[in-house]
Amino acid sequence: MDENLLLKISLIFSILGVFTILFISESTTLPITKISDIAEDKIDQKIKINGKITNVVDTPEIIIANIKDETGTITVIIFKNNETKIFPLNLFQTPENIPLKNYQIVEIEGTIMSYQGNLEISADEIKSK
Amino acid sequence: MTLEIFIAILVGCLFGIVTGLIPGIHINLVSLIVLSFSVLLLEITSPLIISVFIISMAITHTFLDTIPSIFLGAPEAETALSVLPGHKMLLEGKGYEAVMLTLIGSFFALIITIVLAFPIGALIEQIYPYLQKFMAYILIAASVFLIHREKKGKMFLWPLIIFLLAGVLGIATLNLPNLENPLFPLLSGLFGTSTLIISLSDKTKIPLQKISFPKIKKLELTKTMGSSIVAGSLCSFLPGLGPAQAAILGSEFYKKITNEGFLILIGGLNTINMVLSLIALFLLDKARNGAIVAVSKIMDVVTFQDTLIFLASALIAGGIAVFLTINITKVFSKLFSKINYRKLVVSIILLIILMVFFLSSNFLGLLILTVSTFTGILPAKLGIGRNHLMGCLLLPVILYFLL
Repeated sequence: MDENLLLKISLIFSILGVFTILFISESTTLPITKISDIAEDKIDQKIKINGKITNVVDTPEIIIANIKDETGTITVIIFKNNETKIFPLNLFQTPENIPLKNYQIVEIEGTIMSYQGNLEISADEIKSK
Repeated sequence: MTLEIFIAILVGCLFGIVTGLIPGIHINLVSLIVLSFSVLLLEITSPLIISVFIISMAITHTFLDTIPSIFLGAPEAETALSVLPGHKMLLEGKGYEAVMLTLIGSFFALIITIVLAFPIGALIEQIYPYLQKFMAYILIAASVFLIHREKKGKMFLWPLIIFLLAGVLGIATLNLPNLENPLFPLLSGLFGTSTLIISLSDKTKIPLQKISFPKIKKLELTKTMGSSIVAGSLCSFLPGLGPAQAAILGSEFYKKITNEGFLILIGGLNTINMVLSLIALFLLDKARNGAIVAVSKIMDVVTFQDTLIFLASALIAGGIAVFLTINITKVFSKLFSKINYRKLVVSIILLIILMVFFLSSNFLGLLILTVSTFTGILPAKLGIGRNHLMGCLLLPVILYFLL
């Protein structure tokens, strides 16, 4: 194949492709997962849950919140320095902006992780509902 | 326990042969698979043994992965705008010598880094909190330096365009919510299939390979190892910067670096990166690559004693890897001119496509592989370094620290 032709094809498909993936990533949303469906085989996966805050512990570096939906309860870890986010474009609010309170209904997006044998969610994004 | 550790090292070395020799099957991927089976594995063995297995595999991989990167993907010397030193030697019939140079680099680097691991670690531990405050600016400065050093007349904008294009691709890919193992199609496309497709379009003819050990001057070896240690130490503790960037920074410390020196540097940096990642995990609680992420998740706490066992295992695995690399490269050199190169390259591309499809669990992985392959072709055809493609990780990391 001609050197310049391969360069031109690659450049065009690369630019079009990057913007297509960017569009897909911005327009795709995670489905809501029931807390009872969170299991070991989902460790490291991103999920979204809806639920009510039943307990909040505020420490200097993290906020530990228990979230309850109609199927169960799970602990959610919110890092105050935003350490858990992979990159910031999708992080709309920081924990400091959200006064987390008991009985508050929230939507949480985060990654499932295991800590001392228990499954928890490391939060990337929290929205008060 | 001791017997179990030795068995874990041997099994790790065997898996390291597979990950090292097949482009596309990376240790990060195997570590991830091991991690997903860790619940089952922990019923028959301990977290320490699984970690020793992963570390031995990773070290063996850093010794052997130069074999496919030198023997596969070489462009046609007459038409290529930039030929990597390893490919240049392969096209001169010196593929075996090229691998031996990287082996020398890896083995010396392994010994020196293990001896200096704790002093280097202690130094980095002291300065890391200050580095962390300015991490975004350090990474921006390193990126600007790598882009600026490449400017060639009217082509000065291309390194920047490639860096940003790869960066946006990285951000978009990492932001996809329903994609498993996003880095696999991204990095396989940018650095794997793109190189293989270029070599197909170039109709490369590999000459008969000679089996002879390279002659290296002691002064050159000392200078190269010094550069490797300094550049490797810096990059091992900075997120987003890998051995390729460290090699460029390292060669800046050492003016007029020869092809031989560059290959020793490359071999050394891969190994230094892996050993110092172990120290970074123990001292800073930071996992700098996929294999170490798996270790950090399997081991709740990494103690000083665990780190000593890991370093000893790395040394033993390194010794075995030297023996493996010498013998496997001899076989490769003898067989390579006889096998159908095009069929081999096409088979590896198909293997990568299949693996992306199964590991990503949907067609989005294939889209990312296609786009990143086109992006990965660009630097070679523009005659600039492929290191700018690391913008795919650097840009997201810079934004993470900035925003």
